[in-house]
Amino acid sequence: MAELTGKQNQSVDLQTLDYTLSADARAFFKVATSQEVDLFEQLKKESFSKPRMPTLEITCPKCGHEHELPIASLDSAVNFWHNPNLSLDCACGFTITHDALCAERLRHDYKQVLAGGPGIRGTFSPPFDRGSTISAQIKSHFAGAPPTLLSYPTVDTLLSIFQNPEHVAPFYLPTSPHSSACISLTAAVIRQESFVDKMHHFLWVRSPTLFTDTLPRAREKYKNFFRLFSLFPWETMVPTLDLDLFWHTHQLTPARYYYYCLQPSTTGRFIDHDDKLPTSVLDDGFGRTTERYRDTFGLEYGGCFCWACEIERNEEKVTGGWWIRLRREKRKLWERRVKVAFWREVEHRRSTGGEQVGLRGLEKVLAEGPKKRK
Amino acid sequence: MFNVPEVCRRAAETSTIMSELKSKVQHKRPSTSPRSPLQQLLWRAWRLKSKNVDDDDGYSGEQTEASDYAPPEFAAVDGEHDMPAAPSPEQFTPASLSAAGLIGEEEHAPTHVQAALHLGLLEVFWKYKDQFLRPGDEMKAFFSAAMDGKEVVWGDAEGLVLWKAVIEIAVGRFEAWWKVVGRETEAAKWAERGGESESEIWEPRHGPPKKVTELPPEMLPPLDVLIVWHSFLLNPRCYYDDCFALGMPGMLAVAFPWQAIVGFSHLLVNFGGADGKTEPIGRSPDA
Repeated sequence: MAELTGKQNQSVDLQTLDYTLSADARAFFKVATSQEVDLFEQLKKESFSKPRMPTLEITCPKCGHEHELPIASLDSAVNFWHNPNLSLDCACGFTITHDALCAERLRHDYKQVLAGGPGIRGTFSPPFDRGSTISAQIKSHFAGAPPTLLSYPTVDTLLSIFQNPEHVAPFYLPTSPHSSACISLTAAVIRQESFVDKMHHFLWVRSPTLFTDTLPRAREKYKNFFRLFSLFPWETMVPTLDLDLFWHTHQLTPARYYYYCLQPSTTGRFIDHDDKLPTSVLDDGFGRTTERYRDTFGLEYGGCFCWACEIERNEEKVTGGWWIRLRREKRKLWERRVKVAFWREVEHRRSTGGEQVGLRGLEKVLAEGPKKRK
Repeated sequence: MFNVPEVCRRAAETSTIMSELKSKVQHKRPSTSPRSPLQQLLWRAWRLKSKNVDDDDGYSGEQTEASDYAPPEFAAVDGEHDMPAAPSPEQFTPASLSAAGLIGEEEHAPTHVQAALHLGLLEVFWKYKDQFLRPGDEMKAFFSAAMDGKEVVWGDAEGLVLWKAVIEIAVGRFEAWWKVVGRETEAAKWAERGGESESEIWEPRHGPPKKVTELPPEMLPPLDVLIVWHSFLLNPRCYYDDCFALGMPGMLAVAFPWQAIVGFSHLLVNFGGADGKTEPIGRSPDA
């Protein structure tokens, strides 16, 4: 195992949630990108006399003229990159839109295929058998006459040559001119935000049952979830929040995720994670996945994941005669309230920097039992 | 920052809550042990009897059924062993932290520690986002001038425009960082596979290289770039495609730098439980 890293290499302090880079990492980033480490500092540095935002350079597909475009504006009357209805008139008479830029990217990649180069985007990833079909279709359709701006002006017209345009379309959505990724990373970050917000909302990271209950159960659920993919191969499975955390964590190390998916005991094929599905599909899918999960494993799938419910799941079932049970359940309920109140207090004092409450204090309150309000 | 829900959010009806909360299946216990009809009847009666408790598992100790009871008062911390810590530092062992190593015969799901660290990282992301969604005075002045030139009244909508613009800038910064890291990684991986000739191209259908190495700590990017990389990785097919299309398949075998993101010893220091005797959390002392 690797040596315990020295203090200078650590970046996140879970106590304060500060993120600081080591001197080495700061130096690497500055040299690699010629940018300041802090984004706001970089913007201030770029603004000599008055504050300004970086602009994006977009190239007119028709005449090749380069336009400088603001990224965003608070004035909606201006043309800017984040305007979904961007429509920029070039001096050559062409109107530049997001679709036109995307079509230019696709035409460029077609021409590369026609010149004997590598395939278009989307053909480098599993399922691999699609790639050669797509390249063959491009070659046969455009034999002798590569697509031009006039003959194939839009993404739709360019995709119409395929039998299954939906295999290619996701890789040719509008992307930033300064990004070589096949998807819009800005959109990917925005989509990911809802998950970040949910995790912030539940704050499992500070939950008293994180390691005893939430994570072990979520990990088992994740493994079962993947078994569902092999049992019901052509269905879309919708994850619960807790197993989604493990799914996400796995994807952060792509090679491990890839080989995990491919092993026969898991699913035997690569499972993509599509966070672009519309809510209606997710809702239907979630209901079906819940049923599949319950029928297959006989276990609960969804549910509430707040601290109190997590503590309750962790508890042993109350036994005894009905009257004893009622009393015991009432007592348990009170204990849960106290535990949550305690750990809430811990988190509150951590975030506000007050003097911390002690574990023995919690023990004492629980031992003494409920006290009537005076 | 302080946002632990007052009440169980089962009762809350907001659009942000996931579909599972809206779903009809809401048993809190595993359905392997369903209540018998008699039990259900008793349960209903119990809920009727104490209907304040129903649907309001507000464990705040201040309202509802708890109004019968005095709110608990907890004594202040007394010494190191009394210090509560969530998450518990004992859990963070170096062996379960790193995702590096050779791909084995059997691959496993991520470890609990990695998932817990991921949660911590998401909180850091949330905090970073929040400073742009609700900018301070310096940022307000700067971005008003930079994006409009006029005095701007900052509301939610303006904050969102700013945050999206910041991500867009971060995407450009990510591109620059990723290309360099990708090149460095390719060079390192080529050197490792020394015996093979340069002409042997790593094909997409061969899968990612099987030796997984952690991103070197000195290559760890600033937070805005890390956020973009994180979201990119969560589109595994696109990431796979891009790594091969851009000639950087080695990036697929780069493990997310859990070790660099939070050092093991650092955690112990920060949670004041370096001797490992801190009370494990979640298990109540009387349980």
